[in-house]
Amino acid sequence: MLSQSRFAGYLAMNTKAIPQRPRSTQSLLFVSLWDNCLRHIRLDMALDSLSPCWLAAIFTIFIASMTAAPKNTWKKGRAIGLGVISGVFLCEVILRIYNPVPPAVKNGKLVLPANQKKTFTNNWISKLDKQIHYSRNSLGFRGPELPFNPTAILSIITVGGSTTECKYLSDSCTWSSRLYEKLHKENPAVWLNNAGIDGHTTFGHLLLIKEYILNLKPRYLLLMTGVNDVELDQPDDFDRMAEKKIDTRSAKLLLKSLVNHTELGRSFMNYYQLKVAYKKGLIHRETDLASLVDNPLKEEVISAKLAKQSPYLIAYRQRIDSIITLCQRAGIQPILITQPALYGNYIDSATHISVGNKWMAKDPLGDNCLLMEKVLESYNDVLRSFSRKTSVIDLARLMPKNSIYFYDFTHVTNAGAGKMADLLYSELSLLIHPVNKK
Amino acid sequence: MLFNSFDFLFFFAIVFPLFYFLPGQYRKVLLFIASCVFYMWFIPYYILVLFVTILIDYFAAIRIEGRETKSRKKNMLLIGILNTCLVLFFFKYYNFFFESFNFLGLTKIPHWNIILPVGLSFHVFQSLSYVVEVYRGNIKAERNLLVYANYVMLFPQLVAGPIERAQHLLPQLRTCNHRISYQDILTGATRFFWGLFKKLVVADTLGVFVNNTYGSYAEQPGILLLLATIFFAIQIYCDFSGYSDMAIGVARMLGFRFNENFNLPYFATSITQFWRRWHISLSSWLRDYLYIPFGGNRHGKLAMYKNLMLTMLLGGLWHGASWNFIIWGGLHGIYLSIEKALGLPSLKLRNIFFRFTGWLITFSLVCFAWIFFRSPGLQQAGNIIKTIFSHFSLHDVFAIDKTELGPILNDIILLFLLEWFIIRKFSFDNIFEKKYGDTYLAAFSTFLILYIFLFGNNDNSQFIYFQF
Repeated sequence: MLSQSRFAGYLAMNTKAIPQRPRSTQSLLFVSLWDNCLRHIRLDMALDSLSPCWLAAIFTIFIASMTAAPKNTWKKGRAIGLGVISGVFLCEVILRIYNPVPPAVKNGKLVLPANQKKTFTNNWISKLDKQIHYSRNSLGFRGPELPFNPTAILSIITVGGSTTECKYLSDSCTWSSRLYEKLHKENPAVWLNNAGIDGHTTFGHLLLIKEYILNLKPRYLLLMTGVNDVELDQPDDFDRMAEKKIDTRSAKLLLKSLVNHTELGRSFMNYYQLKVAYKKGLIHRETDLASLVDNPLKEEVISAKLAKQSPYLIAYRQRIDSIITLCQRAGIQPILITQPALYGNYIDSATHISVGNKWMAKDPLGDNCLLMEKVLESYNDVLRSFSRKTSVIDLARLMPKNSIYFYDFTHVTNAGAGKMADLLYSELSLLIHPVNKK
Repeated sequence: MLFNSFDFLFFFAIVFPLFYFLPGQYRKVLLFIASCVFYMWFIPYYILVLFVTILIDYFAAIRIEGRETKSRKKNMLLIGILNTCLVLFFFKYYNFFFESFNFLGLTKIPHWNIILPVGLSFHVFQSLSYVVEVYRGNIKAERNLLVYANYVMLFPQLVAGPIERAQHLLPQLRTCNHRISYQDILTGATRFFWGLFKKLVVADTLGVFVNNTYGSYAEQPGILLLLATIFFAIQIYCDFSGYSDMAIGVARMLGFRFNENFNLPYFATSITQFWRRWHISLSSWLRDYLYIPFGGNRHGKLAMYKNLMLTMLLGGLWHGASWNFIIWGGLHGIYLSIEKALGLPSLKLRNIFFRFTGWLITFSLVCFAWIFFRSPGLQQAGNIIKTIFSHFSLHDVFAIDKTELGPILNDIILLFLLEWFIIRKFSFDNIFEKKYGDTYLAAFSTFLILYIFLFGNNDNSQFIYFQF
């Protein structure tokens, strides 16, 4: 009966032991469609395991209907073919009138889900609240509405991916919200909004900053990034399709870009990206350290993996540099925040489990926590290297590595969000100019 | 196995071609095996319960036919009915009755934790109708156990109906060597996708809103509870009629014809009309095997009202062992009695204003009764009604998330337009028989498949009526 909880139950049963895996090269610009995510991923999950059934069933019906009409088989086939084309056309017309799942990117522009307010039941991540209250304001961000005169107050916007958005934490529990509470207590003339979007990489952050944040001109922009950019050097085909251009580089890309010009095609693309997101482990699920197997890696494997990062790190540095330049030119002070995570080589004090060699049993060749820590740190080092150009808060080092603060390897629990807010508040107190604070 | 699961698609992709190419005798065996697999997908050992009811009524019917005098036939009928009802009582009403007795201090029997076999009420009713019809002499007792077993457990209608009458279904199952035509497959498939659309796109989308609102009813304003009630009315219609459409469609693809179970009940302009259009196989069952045997309208008006009330109360109890369902049935009994008393069923509303008023009153009364049906308990139902009438402010409607309401309204409008302009006017067979009919059906199916694929909630959610 209860669709979401059943989905949750399904997830809990099937995915609890699978750790969150940092993504590699893929489209991350708009894999997050929060408002439609749950319903689609359920279908996606089902299709993952049994997609041939759809084809088999439809194919069987089609073949049987043809054999059932021994006379005029060709005529019947033509009639059905024409019907199929008409059905596709009918669907396109109806979706153009109203598409229940508006694409996250339309005509090359990000479409933020504004004015949302929903409460959903969480049955799949035991470390989080049962009832999650999630809202987005008229800007499409999480947090209070924009005040009448934003330039006169201390305005802050947090930008990042899922670790910033904290979509499985209620509005009042995200680290942005708790940070806002602390700042607001000290100075009522403060406004802080959370512009994090699950799945966004620095490509998405750049687009968001250009299209929305530069116009708002907040005084500070807190950028927490890293994990989504691992092994990402360029937006892929789907990211390019957001540019609404006809791609003539190959027949495949031409077809894809043409499909992207239809409402039906775009809806299928959204659906496909969610399928990709699910396959690549980008769906939030709880990590149970005890259920993970040890997978010690040889030094050569670690070195090879780290060496592989070089070109990605160069591209990542360029994107971060572009963001800083863009913000500074607009009079926005960017503050970079390194990405905290549960990866590393240590003994978790909550479970007394040695984490370093842990990784999922299904993937014996996968990276273990020690290697992941090293990889993520190389991206955090990029942010640290900008400390002369702008402020950097090294949250990755400040945040204690304890599984009570995380429900998977990168996403924080309520307690984790509270801890992050405390750490950021004390660091920001040093960074934010006293004049600004007042 | 659920029709809206990939398991079913896989299952049907195997069963359908086998059934299509096998000769009649083997088809019967295939149907039996397929039905067993279909049923055992839920809780395997409950198939034994099904076999018990099949055997009871199979032998009871043969014995009834074998007895020469009316009184002996009647004795055998009573034995058959009692045994079948005992199974139903044991699984469905045991806890309800003994908890009620415990509450009154009459007994101290502990609660029994047992899961209700899926669709028990449906196949019990189907079996009962068979023995009664044999007793009445309307049909002959089926001697072939395989054919009779297929009649009770034919997988498209096994778990949630339609409750097929033996006169209609048994002859189709006896030979089983019918030819499956191009029309059967195309109209059946379209009907299946239409049901799937109602279930996955409309019912399940509305279900999320309804569950969230009813789940936290104490915090919700009146208008949201009212909206949730209206949405529940649409949800349960799409859920149940969607299942019936899928059952009819699947059966049709196999060359069997089932009776219609719904006929646009929310377009009804009176409660009497509503019950002629809602769950037709149950309402006609209640009429033929309860209302008429109780005396129907043959012994004066007061007796008729009493019979109506009794039938509807039992109809409510059929839905579940709970006072909520009994009150739901009782409310419909009262509505029907009042309508009969006012002579409304015989009125022909030609004026559009009267028709609209009739529709509005009917829909409001039906929705009011649904509150009892949907609420977890009587107290909660009372609180919900109180909130709807005492904390009603139109302003609260703006508090609803537009991104949540948009798809819901879109689905309702789409459903309404399709029902008003297509389903109300033509059956799929009518469409097929038109020029380019197959093209229209293929176009409609393609649209439905695409829409289900993109916007359907495929989480294998159960059908509401499975619990009955």
